[in-house]
Amino acid sequence: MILPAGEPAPTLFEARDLSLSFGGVKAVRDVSFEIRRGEVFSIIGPNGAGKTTIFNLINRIYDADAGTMSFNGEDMSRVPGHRVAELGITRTFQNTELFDRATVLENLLIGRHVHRRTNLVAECLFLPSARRQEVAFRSYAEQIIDLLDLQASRDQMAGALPYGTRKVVEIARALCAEPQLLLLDEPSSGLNPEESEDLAFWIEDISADLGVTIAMVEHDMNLVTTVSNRVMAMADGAAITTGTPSDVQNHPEVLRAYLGDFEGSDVPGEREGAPLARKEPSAGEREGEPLARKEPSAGEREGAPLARKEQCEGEPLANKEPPTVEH
Amino acid sequence: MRFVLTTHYGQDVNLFRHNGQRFWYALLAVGAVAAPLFLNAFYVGELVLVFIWAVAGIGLMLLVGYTGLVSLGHAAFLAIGAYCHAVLLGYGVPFALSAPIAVAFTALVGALVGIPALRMTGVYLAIATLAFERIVAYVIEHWEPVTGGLRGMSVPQPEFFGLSLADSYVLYYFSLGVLAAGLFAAANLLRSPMGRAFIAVRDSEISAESMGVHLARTKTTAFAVSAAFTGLAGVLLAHRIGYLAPDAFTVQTSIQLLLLVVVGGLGSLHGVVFGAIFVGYLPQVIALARDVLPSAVGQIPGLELGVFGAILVLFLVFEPLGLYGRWLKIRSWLSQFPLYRKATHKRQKSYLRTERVH
Repeated sequence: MILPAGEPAPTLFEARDLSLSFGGVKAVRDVSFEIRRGEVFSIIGPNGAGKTTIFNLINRIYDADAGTMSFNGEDMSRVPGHRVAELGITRTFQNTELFDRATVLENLLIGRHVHRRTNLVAECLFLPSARRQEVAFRSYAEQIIDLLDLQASRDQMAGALPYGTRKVVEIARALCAEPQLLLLDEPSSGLNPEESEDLAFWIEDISADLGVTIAMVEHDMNLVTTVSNRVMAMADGAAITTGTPSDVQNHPEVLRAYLGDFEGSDVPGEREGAPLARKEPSAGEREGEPLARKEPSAGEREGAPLARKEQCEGEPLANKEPPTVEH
Repeated sequence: MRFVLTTHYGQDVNLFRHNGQRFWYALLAVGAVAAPLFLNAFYVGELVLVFIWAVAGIGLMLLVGYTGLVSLGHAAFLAIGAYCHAVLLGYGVPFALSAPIAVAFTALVGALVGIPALRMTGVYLAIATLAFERIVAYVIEHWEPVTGGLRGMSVPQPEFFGLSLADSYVLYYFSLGVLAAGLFAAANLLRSPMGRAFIAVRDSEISAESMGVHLARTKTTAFAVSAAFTGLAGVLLAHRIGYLAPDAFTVQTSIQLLLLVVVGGLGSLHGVVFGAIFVGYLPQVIALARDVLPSAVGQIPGLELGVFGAILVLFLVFEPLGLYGRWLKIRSWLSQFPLYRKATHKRQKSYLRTERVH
């Protein structure tokens, strides 16, 4: 999302000196970072850098050995795992974890579980309160289905869906909880280029229309530079640097983490283009507009994504202005 | 093929999707109510047994088919419900109190059994519940002052308005009502957040938790609800057999219940009814077959258990969706008749859990 200039947005999530070891392996070492409200925050790094472990720590799947986490200013270092969604943090998984023997709609309705207000007796008798809640759940799930264009797979079993759709359903399910912070664990892995491009639009939609803050672990630098406001690079469990996508891309430590030591590579900026951004404009061209994301050229935008954008207008979820369409 | 135009979300929430379904279920209800008029007492009694199997089957289906927790100890819940009810009736507690107390007590025991289940899945849980079943059987055999031990105890048959549950026609309508209410409650649960939480726990614990499902509470609830249904079936069974003895609740009963949910079709309430009919009539079929088969096979003691096991394996291999799954296939064949293609229901390769990398 395009953040207003000037004052930085308030902090939504903050991690201080997080550390976690598995036996002798130090998966995360003294990592500190903050996620600001409304931004798209990406974590990049080579395999085994500890990116997903950070997510699992936020999600309270693992207990940190040291360090603290706070969400909305409140300490969440010892909150039980099932309460994390209630606080307003939901996530997707690197290797999709859908409820395979339930329909897409049921998957999304499970996403609304944190909003359950009925008890077992009311549910067994399906009292009017339970019916009202169900109808409200449905209508919210339908809005997410419309936003992410899942109408066609609405009643299909999640286990039978193609991989790309499964990824989107997972995002939809996480959104159904109405989170404040959405954690996306490698959303584009396994997607084809067209699906990746759609994903970039959806991430922008989610950020702009729903006002959801997004934290993302991602390898696809194209996607990262397109949608992120800030990027944190990690290697060997430690945070190397945090900054704008272009700053991080050209950071010497980051290049070393990805590419190793090159002879004569002391001044990476002098090399032809930035190695991580093959299709990106070079660093020089991007200077002066660190927050402005690369807008795909008109040619790239032709095709399916435009149709979706138009559908989103007049969307009941759009409490803010509808996304702009550039023709 | 029927296409339903959905115009409001309430329609999606309804138990019946369209008037065709309402018509067929109403017809089924009329048939079930009218059946005793045309049947003699023996067949009515057999139908009562099918209803009792179905009520217990709802319980096990919620646990195995929807929450993914396997139990080989459900005969114990059946026994607890039956004995608790009979003992309370023996102390002069009125039926209207003793039945709910028996069900609540079974649910409580179920919740307690569910606690160790928080740490166990699959075959370990099956063995733990099997051990639980043995413990309950041991208690029943040795707590003679209350349960009558191996001699057993007779079940007092209370009367209301001159009607006794010992009469199979009265028991028929009573069990039919209980089954209908049970199916209604289970269907309601499954279209509500808690029922979907069961499904979430079954399919992926890690993402269930990340969506805010309290794993421990959900599993304990599943065990408690499952035990409550099975205990309710125990209450009915006490009146059906009239005399409780430990040999009415054995491992074989547990296996029959498991057979019921697997053969019926895991993960469907229709499957419970199909499975109950199957399990209810299978012993009769086996008994008839004994007369026909050559004596070397027909006279094998314990033939039932072998046949149950064989059927269980055959269904798991050839029709994992059970009788209900088979029915769905037949129905879609009928509805698409000339256009049906053989590959429609070919099992597709999907992303199995074991193939994923974590």
